[in-house]
Amino acid sequence: MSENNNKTDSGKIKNELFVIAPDDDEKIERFSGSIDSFEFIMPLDYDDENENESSRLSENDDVAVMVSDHNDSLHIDETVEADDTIKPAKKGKPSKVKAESPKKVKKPVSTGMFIFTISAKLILICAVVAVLIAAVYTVTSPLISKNESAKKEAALAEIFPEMTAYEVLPCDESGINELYLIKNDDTVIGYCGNVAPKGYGGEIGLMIGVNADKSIADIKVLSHAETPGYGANALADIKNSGYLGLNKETIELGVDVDISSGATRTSKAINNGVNSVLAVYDEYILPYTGEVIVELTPEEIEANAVNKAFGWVTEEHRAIKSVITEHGFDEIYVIKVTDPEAGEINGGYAAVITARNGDSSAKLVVTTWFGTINSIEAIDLKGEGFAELADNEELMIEIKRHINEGITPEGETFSEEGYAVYEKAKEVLEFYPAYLELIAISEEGGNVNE
Amino acid sequence: MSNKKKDPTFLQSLKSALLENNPVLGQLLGMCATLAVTTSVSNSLGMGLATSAVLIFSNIFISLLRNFIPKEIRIASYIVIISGFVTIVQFLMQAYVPAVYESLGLFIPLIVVNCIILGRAEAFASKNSVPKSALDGVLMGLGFTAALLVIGAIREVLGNGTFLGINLFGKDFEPIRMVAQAPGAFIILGCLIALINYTLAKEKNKEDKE
Repeated sequence: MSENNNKTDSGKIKNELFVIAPDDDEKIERFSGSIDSFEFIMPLDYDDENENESSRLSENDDVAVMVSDHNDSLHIDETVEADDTIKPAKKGKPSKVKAESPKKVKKPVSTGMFIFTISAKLILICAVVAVLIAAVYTVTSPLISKNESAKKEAALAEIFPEMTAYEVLPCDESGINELYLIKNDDTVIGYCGNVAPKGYGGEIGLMIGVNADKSIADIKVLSHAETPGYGANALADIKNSGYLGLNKETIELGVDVDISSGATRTSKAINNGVNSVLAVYDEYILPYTGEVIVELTPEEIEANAVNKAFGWVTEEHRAIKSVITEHGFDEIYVIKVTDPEAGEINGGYAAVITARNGDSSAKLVVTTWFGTINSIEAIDLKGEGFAELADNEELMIEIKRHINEGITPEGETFSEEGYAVYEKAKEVLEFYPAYLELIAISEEGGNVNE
Repeated sequence: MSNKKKDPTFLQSLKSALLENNPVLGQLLGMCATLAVTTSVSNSLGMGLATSAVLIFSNIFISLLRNFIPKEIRIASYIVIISGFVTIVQFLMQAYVPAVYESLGLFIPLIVVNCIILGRAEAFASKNSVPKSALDGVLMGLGFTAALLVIGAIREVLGNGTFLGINLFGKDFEPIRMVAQAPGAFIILGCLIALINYTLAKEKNKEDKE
């Protein structure tokens, strides 16, 4: 048996099998030193019916390495390549392995070492995979963000076809991901909120568009994981859900819009998303689209405030709109007068407030002078109740008196609308200490809006 | 016991991967992905290709590491490797083919638990050379994609009246809604398996008679 004629052309081992008789321990031992593991090796021409024939290994036999697989069944291990035939050793001499078997020798190892090796290998595999993932992520994540933004922009354009520009408003409400102000040239025509309420199968990415008049413009679905046939259908059918055109403060599911049958969770999610977008209108959007109730220009208000309040005021007096933003009134004006001797002094402030009673409202200018209410003037009245206040000087004087003298009106002193005016005007006076503080800050050169 | 096993030819392997060893229709693996995704031909194609990509790469990787991975932690290692590749495929799809990614949505992460991939890793890639494992990945992927396409085509045409989104029958066609949902999927799957078994049995009978 020469060394080379056992190789096949492809370098694989020959398919020859030999049995080592089970009690032939000597031979098994010799082989176990150079093979990873094996069950037993049997002769190719082993004849089942004639068991007792030629079942012994001899020096001249070729052997193949057989390895058991994990199911403990036998097969030829084709991964043992090139030159893997092993000459059975002559008695007393160690077996020779002609070529390196890829199967390494299993040295007996301690349990600790064994666990360490296994853990180390597992950690290594995890580390390599993690690095690969991180690498791919680094390459693809800018592209992915770009795709997301493009998708959102496309949604904005679909909802508001007349949009020429949009502005992202900083908004830290928990339900809103982004808030977009939609402009057509310089007019604000509406706004969109990107929300992701929890649906049945996860977050539903929605772009909800609301017109400037607070009616719902459109709802676009950006992403979802809802069930096809049920939630997914509800989302695909949003146009017919009843949301579009609806104009309400809060939309009630089941009352204002129908629940999609078979897709309750999805419907609830959509509704929650819509309501959270509607909820930010007052705080974030109203400053841009706010209804113009006052018919007077700021200059006219200033003139009114100054003229009506201070009959003796001349051109040297000026009422300027205050830079103070934290006051809680619609507008506030600081009245400066130039005293011939003392120079420019801060006399007082005028606040534009809105008193409300039910659906009616009244816009009033309340002027103060050095800590007392000087006048209350109605400039825009809506609704029946407040209409009676028009030119009702006696009422205003009465309210003023109560506030300045600290008298709490009781019972039927004022009508409901009168009380509303009283409360609001009182707030204006209560601002006086804060006003003084802010004046002091500004005179020192500080920022009154900190 | 003359057991000289010849390596099957490529064509034989291909036929086997498409029929009796078809991962879905023969080995009955990866059924949940099959049933869930085959509502349309384009979804089936996308899913089949994504799964094939993961299958080929994970087979190659696991075959490369087959001597390195100790058998005690092999399942854990396979899963780490497979989920790593699925994540990579997911990122690549999200970045380069966002439209397909949108429609396949949450089925892509499900590729990790698709039994085909773990099954082939355990049964083949861990014991065979890299080229063979890669080829196995290609063949199994082809079989899987083919099965998905056939089921997807039937379900889209009958259950939605369209093929690849193109309306075939006009507006008045009432699609068989059940076909587009789970029960129809099961029935079609069963019929296909029966068809294949029948064809193979007939062939075998012919061979035996010869």
